[in-house]
Amino acid sequence: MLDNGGFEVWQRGVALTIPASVTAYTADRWYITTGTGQITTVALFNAGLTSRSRYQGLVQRNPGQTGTSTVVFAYPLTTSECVRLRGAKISLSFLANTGPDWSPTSGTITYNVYFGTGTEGKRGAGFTGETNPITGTINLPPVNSGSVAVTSSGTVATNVTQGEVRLTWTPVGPAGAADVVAFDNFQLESGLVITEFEYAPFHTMLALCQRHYCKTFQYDVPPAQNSGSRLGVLVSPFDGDITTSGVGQAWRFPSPMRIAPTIVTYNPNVANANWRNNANSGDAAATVVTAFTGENGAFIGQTVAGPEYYVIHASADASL
Amino acid sequence: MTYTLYLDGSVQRDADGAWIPADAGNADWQEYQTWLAVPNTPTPAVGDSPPDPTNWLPGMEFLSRITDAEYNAIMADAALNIQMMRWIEMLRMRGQIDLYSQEAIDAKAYLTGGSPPILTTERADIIFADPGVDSP
Repeated sequence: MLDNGGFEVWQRGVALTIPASVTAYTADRWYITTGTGQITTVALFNAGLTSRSRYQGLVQRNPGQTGTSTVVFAYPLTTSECVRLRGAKISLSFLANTGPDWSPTSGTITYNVYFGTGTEGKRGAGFTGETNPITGTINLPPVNSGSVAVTSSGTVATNVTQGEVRLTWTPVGPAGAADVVAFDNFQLESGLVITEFEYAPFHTMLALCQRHYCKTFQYDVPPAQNSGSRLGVLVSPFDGDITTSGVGQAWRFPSPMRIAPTIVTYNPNVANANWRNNANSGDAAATVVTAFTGENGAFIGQTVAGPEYYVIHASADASL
Repeated sequence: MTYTLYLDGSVQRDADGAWIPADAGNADWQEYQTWLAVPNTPTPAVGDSPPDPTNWLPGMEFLSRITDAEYNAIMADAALNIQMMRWIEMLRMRGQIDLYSQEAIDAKAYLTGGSPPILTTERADIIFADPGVDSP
């Protein structure tokens, strides 16, 4: 039931440098928490861990990084996802592969599935009334691959509202050139029968992920200021009638989002968050109009500075 | 991490300019609430909400709120005050006024701040009042 369990969807970019000591989303639905001295790269690798998988997700402590605190790589579950598992025994399966400088002692990766009864979100230090029906470890020495296919002994409580699939590992010493682990084909399902990984169509998985995060950029363009890409921009058709009020553009999200999202705007051609004059000769301030912005769409307003067409990119983040 | 608070209750994350809605389910809003609880204090909005087309009052409606005597007083002052003349010209060109813009706030302060004032505070409050109608 995990969206993007196969690491096929990477709307934020396919090679992300995650700073030390942050929590940040990487591949869609998957976040990482790094510690001090743990600048990390999370990237798509252009081959799956099975012949039927197109991509896998790599997590690499960057060469020379010395941080050795426990890394968290996790997938928080929505309440809707938790409800679908209530009262059931559950199964977790996934594939992993390690690089030549994989550093944890014994190559240990710990996996857990947690549930709680509070508000849906990342687990942080622990859920409300936490339960932990699946816990275990897999030891993968460098340059080894392995699979996990486990079931819970007990059932998921019937009142759970928050949950998380969490992987942790503890690096040792300074990172070598390839202190890296790769994952693929995560599947969490109700019942004790572990089924074959479901290779869903890309667009199906993208649409599911867009309930949590979406952008105006083309899929393969990471959201950033001064991206140089105008493909898919919002256009404010300010055509010279400078008495026109309500200048700006509505953005209808490709899928209704989980909650009202955080909106970030990006100037396509300059390092700021403003609308860009289509003639590339100036900017106009951009603001999100609260009255028109919710789960279905946003309105990006423009301070009048025409007459000209203005363009802007935006992202909407409703992640847990 | 710092934030700027808007009058409508939403906040801007200053680091990347992200607009964060006051939605309890939004992770960034939750992070802001944690930041507030430390305690921290957001930068207050500078007398305005973000520029918002729904705050714009059509110029004709704005002028209709001004009496003939007030109009004469404003224009007489503008003949001697380049800043006021410029503001009136900009209002004409745009055909509308953002009631929450710094520019509108400054104009209102100027019109009520002289000795004697061009407008009384009570009249200025009526003339610059939010119509309460969204006009996108």
